[in-house]
Amino acid sequence: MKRFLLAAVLLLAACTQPAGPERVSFFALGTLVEVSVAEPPAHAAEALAELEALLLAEERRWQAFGEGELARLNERLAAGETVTVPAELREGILLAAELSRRSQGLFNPAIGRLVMLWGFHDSEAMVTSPPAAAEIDALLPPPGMDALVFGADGMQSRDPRLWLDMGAFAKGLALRKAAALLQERGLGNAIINASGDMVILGRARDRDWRIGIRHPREPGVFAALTSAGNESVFTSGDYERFFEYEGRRFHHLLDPRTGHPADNAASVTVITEDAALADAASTALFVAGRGRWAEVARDLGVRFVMLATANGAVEMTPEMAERVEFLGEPPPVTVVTP
Amino acid sequence: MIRAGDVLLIALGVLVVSLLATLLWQDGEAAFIEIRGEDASLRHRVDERRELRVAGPLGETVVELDKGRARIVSSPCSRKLCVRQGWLEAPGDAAACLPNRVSVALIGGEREFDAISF
Repeated sequence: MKRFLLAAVLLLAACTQPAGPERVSFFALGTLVEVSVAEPPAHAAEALAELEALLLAEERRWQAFGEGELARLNERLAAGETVTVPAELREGILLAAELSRRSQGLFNPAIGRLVMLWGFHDSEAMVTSPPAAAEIDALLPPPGMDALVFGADGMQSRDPRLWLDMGAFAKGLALRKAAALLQERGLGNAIINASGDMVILGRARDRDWRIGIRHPREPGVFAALTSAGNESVFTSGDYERFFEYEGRRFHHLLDPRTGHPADNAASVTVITEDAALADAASTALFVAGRGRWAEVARDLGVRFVMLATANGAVEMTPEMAERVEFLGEPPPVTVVTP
Repeated sequence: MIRAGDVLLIALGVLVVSLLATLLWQDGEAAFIEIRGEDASLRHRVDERRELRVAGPLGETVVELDKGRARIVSSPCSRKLCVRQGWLEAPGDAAACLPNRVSVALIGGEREFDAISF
């Protein structure tokens, strides 16, 4: 009899225990970061405080406008100076340059002046109309990352219009470091989610992590997948930052070739092992758009890609098609082999 | 040796456990709202109607609770993206006002997803 009562008490205890992972959230990287940790060890709180400090430092480092290391570098490059660049900044910029080249320039962090012209550099700016065509044309074609010269005595820019904006890359770089930190501290089962872009480590106790992918036009999730960790999921969408003008949507993902928002996708989700690559790739493939992304995915070595269009169709790689489950009525799907 | 009284007790035990499980598990429904400001955070039951106010660097953000759901009804920020987000209804749903450093999330209950990519 005692055993039955004990079982009943244990079952009760199980009801009141949170079955899911521990979650903390804080503001960093210019957004809300949520960290989920499965089976957190005793020292988890210290490790998470360290993580927050790391992400805040990364945020300051990569701020392209106003204060911040990158902003100061931009000013000096624009003034024609040869600048000695701290190692962390230099490594990030070199990697960005390589990925820019491999994406045929569709991921181009050198177009900060275009971003400023559209007003997408300031999250508090109330932008209500697109810039004048002549102002855009004056910045076209924009400088590419090849305008940067990495010499023995420092970095130089060959184009005074070059302004580095790592908005499509800094989050990836930061999450890559964040993942390494949690691994080192023994928090090997976790998700670090920076407003919809995330790095996933290990599993959620006795199951895989469950990841939803937001519907680009309706509230809620339209696709789901599971992850056993050691990968990053990044999505670029035209709904994240935009304004409407005369019935048209103008969003923050600019096509460096036209100087206008890319208009051939509503969202692109990419899964890769490396968060930095995932970040750059989701932007580059969004800009490439439907029917064109596969070639760029191949050049970047990205195998898991899903693109959703504004009218609800989906294009994806065979590897992604095997992982994704659609909730509700499945959309028309085209599987494309890069 | 199990006697009739034991069977009754076991049946009662099972009943109590299942009743509590239904009450506490909250499957699919959030139990609490967590509101975070710059220096403080608070948890509040979400099963009633009321307004909560939280101070941020720009001013006061007002959160409305309405029997299991919640939303930011007013905010001193300029673009009001947090207000435009509307009702949060499922566990894990969250809204944040980055300029005023306030976040609101529904917690408790079972989340359908550990994280949502967007």
